[in-house]
Amino acid sequence: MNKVFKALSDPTRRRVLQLLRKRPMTAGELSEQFAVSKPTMSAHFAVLKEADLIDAEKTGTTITYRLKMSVLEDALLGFTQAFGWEIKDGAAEPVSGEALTKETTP
Amino acid sequence: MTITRPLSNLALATMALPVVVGSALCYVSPEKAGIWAIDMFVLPVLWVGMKAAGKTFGLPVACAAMMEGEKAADARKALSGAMIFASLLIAMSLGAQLAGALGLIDAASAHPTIDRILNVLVGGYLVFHGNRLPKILTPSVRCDPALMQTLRRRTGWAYVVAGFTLAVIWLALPAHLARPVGMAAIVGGVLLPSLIMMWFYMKRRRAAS
Repeated sequence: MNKVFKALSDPTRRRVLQLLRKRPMTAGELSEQFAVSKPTMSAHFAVLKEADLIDAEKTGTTITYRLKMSVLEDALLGFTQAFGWEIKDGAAEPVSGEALTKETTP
Repeated sequence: MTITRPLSNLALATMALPVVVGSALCYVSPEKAGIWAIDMFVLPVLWVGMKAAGKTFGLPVACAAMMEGEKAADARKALSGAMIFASLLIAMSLGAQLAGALGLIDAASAHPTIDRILNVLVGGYLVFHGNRLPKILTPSVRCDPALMQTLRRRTGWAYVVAGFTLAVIWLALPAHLARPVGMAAIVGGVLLPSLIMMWFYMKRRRAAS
């Protein structure tokens, strides 16, 4: 559950989940929506995948992400979205892709 | 596959429980054999019907049950779990009727409590199953992934709300009120959304082909 809270504490990751609510999207389509580098986005995807909130399906060179949230996690997303909840001093706020990659690798 | 096959076999074996208990009940109390027969065979008929419907129409639930792979295995596992739970509930209900017919328990005082417990359990299971329903993914080869995702999310929410409502109704209301209101919660929160989603799925599938 800690991983879920950590994943939901970041606004970019919450926005990714909101976009995936509409339909499954490729990594490229999702990255286009954000003004951040691709490595940073990949790190965000990794955090969401680790929390089991999204699922990645690879077809050739394309990775398609799908939402994989339980009703409780969905409600939690709505709750965090409504109250703009963030972890201020934690490691969840991404600084760069490299920092996030370090954060997610065990 | 190694996990789901025994679970699927266990589901089939558990389906025999209501048949066994129901047969004993038919022997002890043959005047209500028609009612016992419905309880005994509802799940086997549902199981066969679902498989047949899946093969004929490619319905969303059965879609995963017919496929291979890790995600389809997850869906099959959930389906088997639901069948096991439903079989145990029906067997418990029939077992209580049998105990009453045999004079082992005082039927008049025990049945309302058993009814209450069973309905709260059903509500709890609907919440549990509805909650994880959107997490069960199917391979997107034969199913439209966007549609499947919408179906699972909305059905999951409907199940959770209906299950929670059912459990609260049976915990708080007197039995004569809890029965119709609980039934309305099931029809409105489970049956109706499921039928609407299935109709929506079939419509989209026909339009696509």
